[in-house]
Amino acid sequence: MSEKDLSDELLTAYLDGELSPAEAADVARRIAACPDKSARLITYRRIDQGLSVLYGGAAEPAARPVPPARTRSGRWWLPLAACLLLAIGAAGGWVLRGPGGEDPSAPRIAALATDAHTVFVRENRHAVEVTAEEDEHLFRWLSNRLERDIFAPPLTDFGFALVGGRMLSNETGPAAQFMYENAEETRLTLYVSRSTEIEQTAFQVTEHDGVRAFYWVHEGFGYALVGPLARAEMLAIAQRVYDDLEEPAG
Amino acid sequence: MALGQRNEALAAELPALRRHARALARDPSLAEDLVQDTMARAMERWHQRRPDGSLRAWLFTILHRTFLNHRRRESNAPVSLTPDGTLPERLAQQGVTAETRLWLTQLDRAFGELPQEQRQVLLLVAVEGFSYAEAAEAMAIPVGTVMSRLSRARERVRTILEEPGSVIRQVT
Repeated sequence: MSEKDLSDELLTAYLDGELSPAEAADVARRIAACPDKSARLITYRRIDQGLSVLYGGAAEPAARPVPPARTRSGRWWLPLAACLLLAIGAAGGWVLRGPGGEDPSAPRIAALATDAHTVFVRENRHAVEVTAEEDEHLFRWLSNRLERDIFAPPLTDFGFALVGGRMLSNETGPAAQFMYENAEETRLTLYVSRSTEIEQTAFQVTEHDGVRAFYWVHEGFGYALVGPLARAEMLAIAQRVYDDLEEPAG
Repeated sequence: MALGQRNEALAAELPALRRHARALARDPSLAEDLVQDTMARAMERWHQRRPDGSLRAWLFTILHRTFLNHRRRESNAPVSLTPDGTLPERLAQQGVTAETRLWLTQLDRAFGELPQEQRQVLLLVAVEGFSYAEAAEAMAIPVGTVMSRLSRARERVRTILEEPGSVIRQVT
């Protein structure tokens, strides 16, 4: 099918998670091949996000406690809107920042990765854009967009299986997020994007509300592994991710 | 469920209903009317609700049906496009940056320019996370219509926001 066949209605249904996994994967592929549709999808997401800030739960004067995550009530940002600041860049793309605005000492890549983690691990139906079933497509798609060979290293040794991934954007351009989950439904995410930060291949750690980000910057790309695990466990997994990404087998 | 429990459950949903009604009607007094009517209907029909269903979704469905009836009765009444006067203050309290406040204010205006049925479907799906099937039931329209309305609504908002000079128009 050509991209002309990718109607706005299909784009909208994709955005709302109304398509079957097979349809969604097909639409994701066609969106990835069409800069115009990708841009439109990002704009639609910003619009939805903005509407939720304007008219969603955060607008309730006496908001009740946030219901448990992973329910099908509201979009992912709805329970978050009250506790996250929104920074919607005028030039397109969006980022979320933690309470109190940007901490100048917190590295950008860790903050972006942690925010994206917090946002998407709560999701059930919309946790990822492309599921692990389509991993080859997912890796190819994100590699093309980031202009760097990128994939999700297998973490089954640590009991984590790949759920899938999605494309995000930040001020440097596209970003990739992969999500993993173990049997206890604990989720880890791996965030990768271009970075203008100083090369730093020793792991750095940030912690925010019990969520740790192990990150490093190498050859113009920033990487961050984010999750709620203990430090030692996170470190071991981060080491594996680093090794696999820097020297892919084969 | 005892009456006390029912009333408590309904009262807990009041803030959500109020904000939703304000966004839908864009008129504080009409919004309050809608909420009152919705509450009255919910009490009357309490026994009809599905006990395993979401109370909020059920209430929003009643609210939307009520809204449609209001609109039908007053089909000639102009849609109020008054922006929410408390918006900039509220956003400032949430710590939103000036740039983002400006963008959100524009978004609020753009949303206000949409036809009522497009506002409805955006609120239900994009803000409240209703599935297309749930939104279709709330608005008493086919699922395909939900999709086409949504698609038109998002595209219309995008077009309004991208009109040249929309930022300038806003700040002067």
